[in-house]
Amino acid sequence: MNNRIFLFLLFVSFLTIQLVAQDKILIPMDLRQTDHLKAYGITFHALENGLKADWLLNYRGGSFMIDYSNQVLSECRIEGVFFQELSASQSADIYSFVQSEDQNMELMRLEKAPKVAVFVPPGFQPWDDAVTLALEYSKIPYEKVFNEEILRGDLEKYDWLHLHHEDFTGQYGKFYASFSNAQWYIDQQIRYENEAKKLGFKKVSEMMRAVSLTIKKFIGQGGFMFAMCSATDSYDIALAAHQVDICDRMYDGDSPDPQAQSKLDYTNTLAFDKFNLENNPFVYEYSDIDIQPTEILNQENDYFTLFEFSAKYDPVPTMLTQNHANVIRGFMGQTTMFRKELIKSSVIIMGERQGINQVKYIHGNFGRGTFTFYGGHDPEDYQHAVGDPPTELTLYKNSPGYRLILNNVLFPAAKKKKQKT
Amino acid sequence: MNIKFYIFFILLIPTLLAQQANLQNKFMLAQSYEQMGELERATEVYEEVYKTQPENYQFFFALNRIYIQIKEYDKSIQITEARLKSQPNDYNLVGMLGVTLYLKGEEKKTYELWDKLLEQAGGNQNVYRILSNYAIELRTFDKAIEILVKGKNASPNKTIYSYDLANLYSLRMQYAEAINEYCLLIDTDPNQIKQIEGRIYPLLARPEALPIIIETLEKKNPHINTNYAPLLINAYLENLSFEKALNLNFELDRKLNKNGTEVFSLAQRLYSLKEYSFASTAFEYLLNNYPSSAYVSQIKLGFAKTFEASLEEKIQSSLALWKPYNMPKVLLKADYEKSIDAYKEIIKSYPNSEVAVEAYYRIGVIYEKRLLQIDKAKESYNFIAQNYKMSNLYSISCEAISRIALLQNEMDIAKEYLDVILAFPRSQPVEKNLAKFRKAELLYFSGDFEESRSLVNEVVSFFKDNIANDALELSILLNTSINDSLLLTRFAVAELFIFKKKFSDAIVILEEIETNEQAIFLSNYASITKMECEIALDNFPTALKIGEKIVSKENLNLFGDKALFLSAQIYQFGIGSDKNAIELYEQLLAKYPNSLYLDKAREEINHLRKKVS
Repeated sequence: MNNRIFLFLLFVSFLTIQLVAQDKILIPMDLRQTDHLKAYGITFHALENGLKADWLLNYRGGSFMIDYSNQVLSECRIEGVFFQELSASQSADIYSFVQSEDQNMELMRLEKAPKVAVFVPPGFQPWDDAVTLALEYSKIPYEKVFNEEILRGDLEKYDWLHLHHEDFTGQYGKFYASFSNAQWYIDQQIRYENEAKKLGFKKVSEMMRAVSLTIKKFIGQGGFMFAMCSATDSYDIALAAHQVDICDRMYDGDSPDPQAQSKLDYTNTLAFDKFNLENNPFVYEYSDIDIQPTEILNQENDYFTLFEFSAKYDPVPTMLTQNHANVIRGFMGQTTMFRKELIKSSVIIMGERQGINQVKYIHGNFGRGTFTFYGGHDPEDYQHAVGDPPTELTLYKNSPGYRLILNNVLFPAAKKKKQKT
Repeated sequence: MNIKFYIFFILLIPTLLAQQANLQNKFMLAQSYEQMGELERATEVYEEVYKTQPENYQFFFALNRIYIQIKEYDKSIQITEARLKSQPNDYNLVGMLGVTLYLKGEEKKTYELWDKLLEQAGGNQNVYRILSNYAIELRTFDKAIEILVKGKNASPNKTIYSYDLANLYSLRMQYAEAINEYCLLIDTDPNQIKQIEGRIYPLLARPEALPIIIETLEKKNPHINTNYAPLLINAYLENLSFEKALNLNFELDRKLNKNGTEVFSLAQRLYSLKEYSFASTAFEYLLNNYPSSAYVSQIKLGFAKTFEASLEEKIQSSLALWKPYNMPKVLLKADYEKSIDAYKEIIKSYPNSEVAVEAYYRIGVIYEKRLLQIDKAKESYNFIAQNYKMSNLYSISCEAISRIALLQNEMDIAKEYLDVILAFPRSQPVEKNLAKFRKAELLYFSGDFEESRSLVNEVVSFFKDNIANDALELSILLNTSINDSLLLTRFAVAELFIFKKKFSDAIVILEEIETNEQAIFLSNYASITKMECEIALDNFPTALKIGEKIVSKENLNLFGDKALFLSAQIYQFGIGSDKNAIELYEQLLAKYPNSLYLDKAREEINHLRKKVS
């Protein structure tokens, strides 16, 4: 009898220890979070170190739940990321709450840290890249790739590719009118021309077309592509112009095809349809996809709203829109926003200026992969001009605009679930 | 007959004129179509006017342009060849034809056509320029270079294309060749050096170009041909090869009989780059070689200042700047005395000059801060205060006298000099603000807290000034403890001891204050200040114990984070145990998530981890 009591007490105390002992680390992503951007880095490193991490979609701003580890705790403290230590019972409560049918929440298991590549030219550029800034700040490792690496098939090594502010049409960003005499512009054109020659292309536009098609193949085979600013529309334009010369003489030495507009192949694009090219080589614009500053009007009123998706039925757009704010301050870029009527119907709109045709953030599928386009240059610098210093992210630790970028970085880590029917 | 002819002729002229006007109208119509982007219709009209007058250059040029625009290269070639037949000596047409052939993809034919023309060109520079411009338009820079090199070889003037060639070589990143062309230009006319320096300067900023430029210029032996030396000196400076820059500069100055002006300008540049030892060498060279230079007083002052600055660099690591308070030490005594001698020499040679005033001030600083001889320092500052009221160093010298007076318990004198600064119309706002803060401190040490508080509030409102932070700290102390004036007076006495670097005396009073647990703020403040004093005295184990005690306090622990931070710093810098330091920094992060020391602690953890790994 005594033995039984003893065993029972032992069992109860064991159970109590189990329930009280720290089991998980919760990184809340709501307004209590002290550094939203670094929280992504912490989760990324936890995955790299083989720990289990869950993304609690729509729970306290899209929080992360990571296996208890002293190392993670220490990292959170060093990086200034707010966290809570949870016992097994507390974490079980949260899991059950998130998965309950009456909540628009879902648990997304993150499996492995994705391999990240950023498409960036070598050498100096008089502008910076918001994604690189976010990756550097959150200490997420990445590698740089450019045309040569892409064309020799290096994309196979990566899960996620970011394109920023590149011009895939071969028109050097259409900076000709303002910067054709600037040293950086001259150097850039020479570098591209030398590279095209080295890789066996007669023209830069032909090289960029080949690069665009290779990237499309990467997506089709299951890659994740995230583009910002002018890499969005210029990429799609390059795909549409895969059989026609759209570059003027100052860009590739000969005139564009006079019938270029009618020869565009919209079936080859990812996101945009029936757009019109801007043929004037002196105008700093590629097409009518981009919303013009005159259409945005007052900067003070420039906000975009994130859509709310069903976490259980649409986990992908839900993941990509996790945020602690759903109305976010707008920001300009060479490509600021997309004209709604030119977006293909298969593409999901995730963020837009409500009530008008100005779309900021879109997502779509191609083949086995996906792409996300995010308009604008720097979420925390409304009008980032050429030559401006990079944004100091230590001053914007809680930036909702930058969070959208990092959602995309972590998104490929999510375990694919079978779609509910 | 004649009459009939005249009548016919008179009737013909208007007809011809009308026909010409009609053609011009059509031509303008075609231009309008072209501008509107209706290229097909523009082509039709251009063809029509061209057929009517094929010899008209304007019509030909417009038609050729539109053919290229619509990629009708064969038609462009056809009309250009037709025109060439009638005007075989038009080099521009050959250039145009070459462009069309190139665009058509017949690169070889283009070059054959151009090479044929070049063979016949002889020394006609127009041909080379026209064809190279067409090559540049096609962005075939190598061909453009080839054409201009042929032109250079054919011309007796070897620099005729040098600027163009240097530009093209720079574009092709052939920096050695670009530099060679620039050197050719300098050989021809050394007065072009400034213009060429301006062109080379952007190339120096390219990391891949700099070593090539240096190598190329070195090969040109600038020791013999001094014209190239300024270019190489700039390249050396950009490459941080200061010694080489300096040696070449000496040589250049000597060979060109510049009497030290070149060296003086480089010395000043090196001083502004904080390359004190090199600047010092340059000033020393000037003193030895040009003792009667017009700038000699400035040279002597520059030499003395660079020497002093180099001593400051040397003692930085011994100063233990991590400590909140430092026990002053005399370091490099003999060297600093040498520095004082140099300043004294300046005063002797150039009395009553601004150079002498600066020398007096520097002597005061060295005596006060480095040799710890405050009487001698006071003497120097006093000399300025009494004799050079119009000097820029007047107010700052008065402030130094006040500081020393306070150290010597001469409160009235200290106050008097601060009042002088505040009343002096030439004092800068920053100087006045500092004087105000010093006066507030003085009043605080004397126990006049109300007056001190009102002055501190004035300083705090001048928030752009660095002194505002110190003022803020004093303001917090006064505002929280003014009601317990007896204890605050004791604390002020302790702080005055700290000001005088009498840390042991301060500790005795601070211990007395910390036992008074009724005065929560002052008691806590006394404990942490005591810890800082122990650190200043290098009593690290005692300081760590105080730190532990502060951190372990359960209630009303106001400075736990600072105590942990200082303990970590003791381990990091005082004891040299990085592991313990990391541990304590991590404890700080865990225990005090809202501490002001978080960022610094994180920075140190990252730094130490990198060091450990």
